[in-house]
Amino acid sequence: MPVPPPHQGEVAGIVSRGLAALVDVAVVGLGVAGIYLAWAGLVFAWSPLSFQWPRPGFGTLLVIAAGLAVVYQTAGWATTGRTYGTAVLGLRVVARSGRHLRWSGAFLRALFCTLVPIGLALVVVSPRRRSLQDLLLGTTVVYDWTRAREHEASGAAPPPG
Amino acid sequence: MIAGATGAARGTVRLGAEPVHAVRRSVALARTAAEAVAPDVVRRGRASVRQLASEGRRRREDVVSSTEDRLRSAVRALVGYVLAQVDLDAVAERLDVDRVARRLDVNAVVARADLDGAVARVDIDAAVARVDIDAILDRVDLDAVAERLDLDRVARRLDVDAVVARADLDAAAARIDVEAILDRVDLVGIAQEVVDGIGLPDIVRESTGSLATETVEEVRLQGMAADDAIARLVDRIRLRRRPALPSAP
Repeated sequence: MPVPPPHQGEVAGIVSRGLAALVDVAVVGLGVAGIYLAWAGLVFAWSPLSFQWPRPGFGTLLVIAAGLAVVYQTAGWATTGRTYGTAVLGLRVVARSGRHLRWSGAFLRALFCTLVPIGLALVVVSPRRRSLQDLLLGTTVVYDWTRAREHEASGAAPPPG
Repeated sequence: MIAGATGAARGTVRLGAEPVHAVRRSVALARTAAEAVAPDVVRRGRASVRQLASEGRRRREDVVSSTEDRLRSAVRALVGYVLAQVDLDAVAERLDVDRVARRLDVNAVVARADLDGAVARVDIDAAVARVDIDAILDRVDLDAVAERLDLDRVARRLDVDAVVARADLDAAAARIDVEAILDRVDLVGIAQEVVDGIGLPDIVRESTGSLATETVEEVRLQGMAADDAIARLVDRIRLRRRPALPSAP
């Protein structure tokens, strides 16, 4: 994939990160829908005659969605540095070292992002384009159109700022 | 046979007439002498002789006729008796038919025969109705006939345009069971061969991948441009310059 030199490695702005967040929200929504259908299938298999579609409350769905989002983001950031949304937008979450986050750091960032999503808005006014989670955990989101292996092979230089 | 017998009878009568000729010659001498001596007597004698000659001629013809009739009757009886005594089947078995046929002048027989009249008297329809065509066809080696048939020559002589013009192709097409034909056609296999031949999966994969790549790149570039635009806008609002973001090494 061709990489425009002026943007590779720079800190991403609010639009790119916001679009990536929307894609991730959609992914989590699909995941919740999949969990719901799987649960309904189990209920049907357990008692087909008395089957009724499950009617979970909003709070239950919210908790399930939050838990799924934490797991999903933790796994993505700790392995490749990107979720599906950030992969589509060509972004990567890195630590100060420029490498992927550790599992613990990825988990904390995912927890923060899920519980305080409005923290992303700080990117708009931050001189270094950092969200609240980035300020607290020392992480950065950069433009990176390379693949994960290419990113690791390139030495994973620390992001600017 | 009858003619032979009749000739024999005539010979017998001829033998019996020899003395009559001797008498005639004696009478002729006597007549010559008598004419000189007694002409009246001779004249009366001549009349008597003529009468006797006429009577003899009549008697002779009666004898010949009756003899022929009797001989015919005898021959008929004799032939009937002989035929009754002869075993015709045995004769027919001993008869060399091939030899007889070789001696037979068939052309002469045919020339003398009234074939037109014979054909006119034949009931062709009845004759054809009695023919067992199936049995004939069973005995015919159609494969051998087909091998000897010059189909190219037949095809050259065939007026295909005239045949097609006379054929009711619409009716023939209406009788075709298209669904049955399609059931026998491996459409899936044909489609698979076509797809394999033109490399459709590769084309779809390349075109889809190229389209997705271009779309993603465009979204990313637009996102970057929007990031910069937002940053500049915020800088103007806050009346400060945004620090330059160095590229990664």
